[in-house]
Amino acid sequence: MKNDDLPSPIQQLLEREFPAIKPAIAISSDINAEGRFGEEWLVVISDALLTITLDNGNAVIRTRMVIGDIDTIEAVNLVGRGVIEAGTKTGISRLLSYSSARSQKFFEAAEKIRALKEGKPIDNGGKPEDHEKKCDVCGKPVPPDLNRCPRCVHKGKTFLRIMDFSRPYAGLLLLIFLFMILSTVCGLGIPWLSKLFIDYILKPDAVTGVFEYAQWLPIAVIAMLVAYTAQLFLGGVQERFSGALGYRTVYDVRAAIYEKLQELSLSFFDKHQTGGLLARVNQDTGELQRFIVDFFPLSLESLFLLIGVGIFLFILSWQLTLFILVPVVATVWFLKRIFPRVWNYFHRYYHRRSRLSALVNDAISGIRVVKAFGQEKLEVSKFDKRSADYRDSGIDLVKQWSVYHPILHFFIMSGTIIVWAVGGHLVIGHKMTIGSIVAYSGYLAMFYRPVMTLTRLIEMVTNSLSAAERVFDVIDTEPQVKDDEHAVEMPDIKGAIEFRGVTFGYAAFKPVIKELTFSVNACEKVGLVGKSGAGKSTIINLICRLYDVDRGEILVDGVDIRKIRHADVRRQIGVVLQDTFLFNGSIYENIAYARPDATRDQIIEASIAANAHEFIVQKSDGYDTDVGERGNRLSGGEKQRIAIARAILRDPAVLILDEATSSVDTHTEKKIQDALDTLTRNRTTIAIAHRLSTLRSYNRLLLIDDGALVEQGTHEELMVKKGKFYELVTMQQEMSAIIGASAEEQKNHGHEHSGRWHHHV
Amino acid sequence: MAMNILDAGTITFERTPTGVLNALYRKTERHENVRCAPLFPHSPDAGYISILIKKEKEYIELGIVRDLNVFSADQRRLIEDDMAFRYFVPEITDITKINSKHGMDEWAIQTDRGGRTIQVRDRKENVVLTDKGAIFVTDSDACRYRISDPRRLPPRAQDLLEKQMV
Repeated sequence: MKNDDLPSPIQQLLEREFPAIKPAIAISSDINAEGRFGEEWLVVISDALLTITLDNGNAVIRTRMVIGDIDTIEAVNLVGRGVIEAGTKTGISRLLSYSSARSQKFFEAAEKIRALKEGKPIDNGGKPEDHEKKCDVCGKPVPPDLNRCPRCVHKGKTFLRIMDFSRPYAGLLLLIFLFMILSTVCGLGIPWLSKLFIDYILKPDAVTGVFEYAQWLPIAVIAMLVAYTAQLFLGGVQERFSGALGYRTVYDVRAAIYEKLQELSLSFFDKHQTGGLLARVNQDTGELQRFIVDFFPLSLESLFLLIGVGIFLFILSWQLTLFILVPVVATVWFLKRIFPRVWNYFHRYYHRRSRLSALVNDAISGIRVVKAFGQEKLEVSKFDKRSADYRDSGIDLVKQWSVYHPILHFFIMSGTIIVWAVGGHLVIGHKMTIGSIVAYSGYLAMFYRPVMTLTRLIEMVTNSLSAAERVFDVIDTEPQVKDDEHAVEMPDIKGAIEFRGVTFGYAAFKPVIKELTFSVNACEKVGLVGKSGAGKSTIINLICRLYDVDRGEILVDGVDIRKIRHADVRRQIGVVLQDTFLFNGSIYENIAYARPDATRDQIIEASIAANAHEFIVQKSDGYDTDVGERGNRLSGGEKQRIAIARAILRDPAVLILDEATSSVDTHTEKKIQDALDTLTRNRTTIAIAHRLSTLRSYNRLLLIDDGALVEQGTHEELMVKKGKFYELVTMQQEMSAIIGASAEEQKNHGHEHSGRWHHHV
Repeated sequence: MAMNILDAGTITFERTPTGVLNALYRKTERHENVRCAPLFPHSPDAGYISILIKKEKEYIELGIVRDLNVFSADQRRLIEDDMAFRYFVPEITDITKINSKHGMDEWAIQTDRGGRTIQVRDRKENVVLTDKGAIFVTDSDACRYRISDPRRLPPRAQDLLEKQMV
């Protein structure tokens, strides 16, 4: 933990009070004593703990305690904020509070004060302090889940990065440019041809009435036909090339992001919700595709058109063009300043629509619950309310659109009126020809399109670039758990595991595992027991190295797990979880997931050992049976046995069973238990089970409470000890007795009822 | 197990000079540093507050204050102050600017606890409209902010907010 830079009034105060002593801890809170956003400092200097506030620029000591007088010091997490509480002989004192943003810092400060008090060395190791990451450019803090400072990412660089993905298709890109320019040139020629028709070919001589240039008519018609056709053809080819470029580039981007997602550590997935990640893979890459396929070529085309048309307008009449600039500027102003109000109504409309569809989705998915509780009317009234919101937002949108859209068109149309008013005068004054005025109108119509496109496009391109930045953010993320530079290969792990003073929390300021030390011998069967939330599953996550410890170390066969090649650890650990996840596909594919190169014989043998084969043969499609989405076409017990077969096939050195037999009936449990007995033979097994009796045969049981080891021994030893384990077992037996008695009572009651009913019949 | 309803006759609170709330339960049990946790923090009506006491390492419920009005004004104030302290979700009163950069929105806001600039990622998940019409905004530091009634924001802030609702 690094100290914050003290403001000079506090520095001066400390120099006065503690001359020539440097503070051991100096960190600032972001909530002041009044509970408002502001500064308040926690300083430990010499043997004193101080809280200092800044009052009109003056440093004032609010609390002063002698470290030796403090019995307990804790960083307590509340909702949205935390508080440092110190306990002394006189009671507990709240020293200062801070928002969640500073929780980790104050948690570490409390730890440091405890260490100081006990005269222990201060440990600054552990997780990288990403909450303190500061931007190299602006110096402001970078949000923990970002790699780059969002304020300092240049859109131009993002654009270049997208283009970098398009580099393999540079030839295609050049062709797109070429076809775009040619298509624009052809389009620009068409109004000019109409001028030639009117001013020359179709204009009779004023004296003789003879059409002097009549022989040019077929050539001009063919030229116009060629121009139109070429414009359409070249435009079509360009669109095709843009599409191909977009799809190919986005294919590469999507592959890169998906590969990165597979590579990233679980801690990344803890910070990001599934919905958000799905949006990055699908929507954001889709947005990128729209950028490359639509917006990018459209922007370029509009730019070419704007410049080309502008040149023609000036050539035809620079005087008229000066007049035309007035409605053009007004249109741009209106599009930039006023028209976006309509987009707000669009936003509202789309938001209401998605809320309505979310409600329908919810109610239809949960229709069984709705019907079971007879809440159809409630659902209808909820729907009515949201549907009315959607309706009203639609009406509001139409109302706004009907006002602003005609105004926009009025600005555009006023250009045409100016052409005829000013252009008419110029024609009458023989300063412009009729052909020029017609061509001018044609060019003007072409001019508004790129103006409107470019005005709106800025927002669209910004959105696309933001989407691209989100995608690149994932691609650039470094996995937290990765191979050490000097990681050793361990292709044959024996399975001895040791925890040495391990401390870990998913958020470092909320440790789930605290100074945990234990060891498991190779091929030993160890059960982890304890209340829910005690930290058992976290221990398993750490053994699988899904996360790295904050402090301490985990040794596998005497080697720090962080120094072993990641792939070797994963390959030699097999896991059977309570909630078995099966992928959409066949039973065969799901078992083979553990070892894609396994033969049919090996898969069938694994299934037989897992007691899965017997139900698989009953299925009409045998091993080819489709398990459905997440395996929902199979029962809980069937899924569990497939998971066991998967683990048997993997043949791991270390086997982890996390509630592998819960949520199945007794008959199935017996089958699973038998399968597990086969599986656990001759390998290190670490199991979690709520039903403590299932761990009776294990070599050793570790009782975990609040992230610490409180008891260990065999089932019998712990029962004799009559400690916490004994309490747990007794409680469980009492509960079973109550449930058993109640079931018996219900059964008798049921018999009584059915008997009476029969009697009546 | 039935609810243990607490009223003025069963519990009295006092705050120590160091800001900690203590309680005297049934005139005999003294509990230090009790917690007042609102059971329905999103509802504006006062009541249903769980009173938690520390037992060994964890907090357990002593009982529930169903109606704050059965307490004297002083006692009510102590409970309310403790809840305000423990449940820190500032109310946004104005949004002066929202900048989108790098797929993240930077909001310049005014709250009942002062002004602040917050970073909001992933609008879909972090700007949530509840069925009661309130909006909860969660920033990238996991701090939450509430807009109890978006219609009471200044019009410009409403426009800015509307764009964030996905």
